[in-house]
Amino acid sequence: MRPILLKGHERAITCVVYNNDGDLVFTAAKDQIPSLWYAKTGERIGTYQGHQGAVWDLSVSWDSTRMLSASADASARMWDVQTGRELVVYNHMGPVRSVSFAEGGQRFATVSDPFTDSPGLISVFEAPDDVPTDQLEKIACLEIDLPPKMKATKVVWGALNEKLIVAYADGTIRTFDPFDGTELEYAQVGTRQGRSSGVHSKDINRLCINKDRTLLLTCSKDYTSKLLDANTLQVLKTYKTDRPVNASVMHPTKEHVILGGGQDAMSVTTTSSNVVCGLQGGAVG
Amino acid sequence: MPGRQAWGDDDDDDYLPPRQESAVDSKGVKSIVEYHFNTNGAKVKRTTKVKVFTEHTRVHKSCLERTQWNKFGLAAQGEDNPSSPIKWREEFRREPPRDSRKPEENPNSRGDPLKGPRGPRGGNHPMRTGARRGSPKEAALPEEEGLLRFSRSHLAVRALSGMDEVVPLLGQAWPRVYLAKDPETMQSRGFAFVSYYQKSDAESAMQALQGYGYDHLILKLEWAKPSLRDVATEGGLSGMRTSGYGERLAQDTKQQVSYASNLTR
Repeated sequence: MRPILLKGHERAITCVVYNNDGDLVFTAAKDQIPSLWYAKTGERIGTYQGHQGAVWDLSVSWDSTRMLSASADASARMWDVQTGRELVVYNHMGPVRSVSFAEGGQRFATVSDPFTDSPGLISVFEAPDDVPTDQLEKIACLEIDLPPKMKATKVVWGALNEKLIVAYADGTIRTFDPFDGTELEYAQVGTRQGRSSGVHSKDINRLCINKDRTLLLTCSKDYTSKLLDANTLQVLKTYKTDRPVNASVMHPTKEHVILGGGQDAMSVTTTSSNVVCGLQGGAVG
Repeated sequence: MPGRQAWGDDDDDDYLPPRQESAVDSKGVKSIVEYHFNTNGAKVKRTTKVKVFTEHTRVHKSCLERTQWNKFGLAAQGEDNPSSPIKWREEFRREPPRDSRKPEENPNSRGDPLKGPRGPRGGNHPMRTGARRGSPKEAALPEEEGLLRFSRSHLAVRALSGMDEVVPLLGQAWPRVYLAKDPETMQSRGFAFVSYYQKSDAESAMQALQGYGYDHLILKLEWAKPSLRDVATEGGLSGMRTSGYGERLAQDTKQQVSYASNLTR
């Protein structure tokens, strides 16, 4: 196997996302300029210039027309994928950690860090694709305050957009109603393990959900990655590794997960090694 | 007549006929005729026959449209930016995680030729199912009781192919024979491994064949060393880098059960 190297970012990569059809790759880094690549050839199609801070997360709409970016410059931005034009700037109170399109791409959610005296926020925005982009509402239709000094690291939408699944920096996962903001579930599995009362005993670095939104895969600084039922937040499986796990992904069809990790998120620019584990059938690596 | 080549020009030294490609015939073969000068300056005609395979891929209409997109942003600004993809120079090897656990005792693997001498790791790990069968690594699995190393038997291909005098002397149970070959020349490297289920079988074979004069060679047999795996890694895959990471840890199997029950619910 000889992989293709994509060279275009000058600082640490933070996020790599495929589009729905799998022909495009979006990458974001701390160098403020997300890039778009052809997945097959590794050719760079374009860059999205406008952010003034590190870009933490990207989300692509199902039809690959619009892309959202979350940045440390306290904004989330919507981009036209084909031209690189900035469509809308959504200003936040603090650095935006994560952004996620809902299924269908008519709404999206962000999480932002606490900044000075404003708490961290989970925000939901309306972004219908039949409204001209200059008329899109830039103010969140729902804001959920996080507890003081609490950070959330990642937000994804649950099945049928019925809930928001948010990973917290203390190692817990909570779900919220995306319409009225009530807290639905709180992952208490694993309370007797670890120091804190969460799924993981340390930060959850990433959270990913499979395509039919039934399984969640977390990865944490506590050297483990966990597979959860997206509906009940019950821990189904724990993958133990020998280093902090920075990224994880589920195979779309096969029973594999790939975890990438390294010594420290600050010093790791590329995943130093992959640990492949089988999901079931006794094939556990 | 201009444009037409005179007969006298045919043996012009510089003239090389253009490359010709025939159409693909009914068997899917096309021939390419090329001319070039060899080192002696003589003209050489080379005909290459190529089997043509056509692979049909279906691409979504929107994906096809996206391949025609214009570049924008930094990618559109000339050639100085690193838009062009770079292929990794060397082969990227998948590195199996190191196993710090002791191999489990597997009583079923012994004496059951159908199950074969597979270890607890041999069959169930997805990364290893595609591994080369019979590599020195696998031959050194500790589950096999007797593992004999033949040396000075570079004719062992013939010897072990089932016709020669050596084979009966190997004994009954030799489930697997690995003959070390040079990966480039495919020539035997002069030794082979034979694995046995029972150590006693291996011992009797060793007694029968130790010092056996075969062809013009004297066979030498010894027990395969347990550290053979490391030796093989150093010798055979010397270009392989290891990260020093990647320890395979014991995974919790209890939760796996709950996962399976969850699926059926």
